[in-house]
Amino acid sequence: MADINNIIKSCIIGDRNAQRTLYEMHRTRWYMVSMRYGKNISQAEDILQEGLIRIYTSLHQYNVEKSAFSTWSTRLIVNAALRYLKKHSWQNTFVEVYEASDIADHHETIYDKLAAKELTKLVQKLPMGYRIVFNMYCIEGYSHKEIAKNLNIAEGTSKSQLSKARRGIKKLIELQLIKSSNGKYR
Amino acid sequence: MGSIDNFFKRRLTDYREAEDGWNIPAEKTWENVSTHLPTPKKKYRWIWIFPVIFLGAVLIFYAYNNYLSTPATIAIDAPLVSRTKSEINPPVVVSPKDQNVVGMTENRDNKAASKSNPNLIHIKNGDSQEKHISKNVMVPFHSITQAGTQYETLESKQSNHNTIPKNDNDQWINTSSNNDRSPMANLPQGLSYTQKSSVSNNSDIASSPLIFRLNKIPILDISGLESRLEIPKISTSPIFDIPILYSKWELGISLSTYLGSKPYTIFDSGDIPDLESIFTKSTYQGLNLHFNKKLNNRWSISTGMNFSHQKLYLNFTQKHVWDATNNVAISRSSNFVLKDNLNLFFFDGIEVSNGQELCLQGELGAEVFSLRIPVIGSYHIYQGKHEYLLSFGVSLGVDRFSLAEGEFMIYREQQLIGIDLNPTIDGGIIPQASAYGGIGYRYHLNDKWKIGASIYYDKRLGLESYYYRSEIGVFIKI
Repeated sequence: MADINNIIKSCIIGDRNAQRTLYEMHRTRWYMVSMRYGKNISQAEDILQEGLIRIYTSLHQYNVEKSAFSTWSTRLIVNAALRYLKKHSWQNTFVEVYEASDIADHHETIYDKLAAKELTKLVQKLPMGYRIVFNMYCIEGYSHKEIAKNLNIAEGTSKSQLSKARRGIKKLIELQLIKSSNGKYR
Repeated sequence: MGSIDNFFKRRLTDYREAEDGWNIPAEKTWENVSTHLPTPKKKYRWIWIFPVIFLGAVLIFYAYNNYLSTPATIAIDAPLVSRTKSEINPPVVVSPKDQNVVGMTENRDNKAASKSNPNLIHIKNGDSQEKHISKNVMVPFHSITQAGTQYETLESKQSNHNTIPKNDNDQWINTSSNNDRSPMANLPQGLSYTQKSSVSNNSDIASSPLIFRLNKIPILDISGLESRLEIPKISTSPIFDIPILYSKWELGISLSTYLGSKPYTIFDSGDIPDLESIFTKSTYQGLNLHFNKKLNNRWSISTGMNFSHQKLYLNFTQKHVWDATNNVAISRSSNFVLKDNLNLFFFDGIEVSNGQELCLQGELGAEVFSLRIPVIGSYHIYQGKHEYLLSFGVSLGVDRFSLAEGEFMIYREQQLIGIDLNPTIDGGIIPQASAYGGIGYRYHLNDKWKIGASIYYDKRLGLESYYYRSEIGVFIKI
């Protein structure tokens, strides 16, 4: 594999082959991140396109000593997703959709039956506010403080949204399992 | 972090490509994105070539026009007059029957008729009715007037046109000490004569003590020039720059010069060819102040002030008729040009053919100082630090025309009768207007300054002359 730094340098001077190589190296990561934030594939592709343009036009700002390229580029994709969602349907995002329910924690062996593809679809079914906070906190590893700052919400709101997102995702998983096993686990 | 968090993080951060390709974006995604990505730097190298060539060409032309070249001299091939030594003082032979004839032709188709019977006066009215007047109807030159499109002749008792001295030189020499009796005593306004010693090394000329001093030369009468010649008086230097992107105002200063112009060879081939003027060279230096306002990212409007100095070099020959009785030199056609209508500057409505031929021949250098106020609209294309613009506009201003150097030879009936080595004239201030269009290039040095050059096609309104003018300048964004 070619040195990522050399590829980035070639991308900066406009080398088409290097740009394509960089894309193929990271497209799965970038696309999966986009899908988790988007409601569907169409939104995911829009987010990915905006994120890619931001990545390639900001390559000269990337500092290899500060972070890994994958981390840096993923953050740009997330930022692009937040801008996209804010632009399109930010309103009524952080409202309570799911009432608290007492869903017992299932053992991970039960979750293991769900593949990444199904899990991604489950995440997409979450209301936008839940989805964003869940992704940022659980997957990307943002703190509540960072989330609050990025989304311009209170830190307590972030925590509340995450809690509700967890319950929501559990309920969605349960429904998914019931659906896939015809009530076997009920 | 709960178990569900870990589970999702572990599963959803596995970025390996799935076998079914569900986590691989569609190819069209990359195709859409690639059109917005930075282009290879190689293209920018090619972009540089054109501005460099452009600036180089402008500098070369500027240097050539202002420092490297010298005025060319073009001899008039057609020997309208002879300059040989033996012809300086031959006796004047005037045929009486050739006197007192006025040929008036509005249409050159009448040329044959005029030649076949030179003792006729042809009057052609607007309704094409033609009259022939016998030669015993005496018509003085200066009594011919013009009313609309119809020409009228006033009968006069003038009958002394035949009394031209046989030896005019002798008579004029004598009258130098007695001006009251000289036929030159009543020279046309602005025409006088003086003795000059500066030509004493030419024995033939020195033997003639009369040297004409032409304070007002017919061909260089401004109104005559305006109507008959295509003299490039205008020195417009249009404002053609606008502020950089996101800069609403801009000030600038630039220098300009001519890259080339339409070659001028003016030959009045009317019934009586009486004018041949060849412009051999024209130099131009201009200083331009620019004040630009940007209307949007593409369009701008600008104005300013343009100061210019132009030098013109020309060889010319102009024939007149010498009316010895009235002591006036009459331009055989330009006197009757409709000066109000510049489109008619080769109008040969009435030409006078009788009387002795008085010919002015010489080489002149003239100067034109101009002040212009342009109004220009420009369309801009930005590409990084490069800016290209397309401009159109007009300018209004004034010109001051004057003779700077030159030499006249004055002939009468092909005999040299005078020389003026330093004719001077101040043509006064005349209004002028022009229209032009051009292309330009600017390079943005930083957020504040930019440099650039432009080439313009400059067309004087109302005349046929045009020029290609270049400018180089520096501009500041405010």
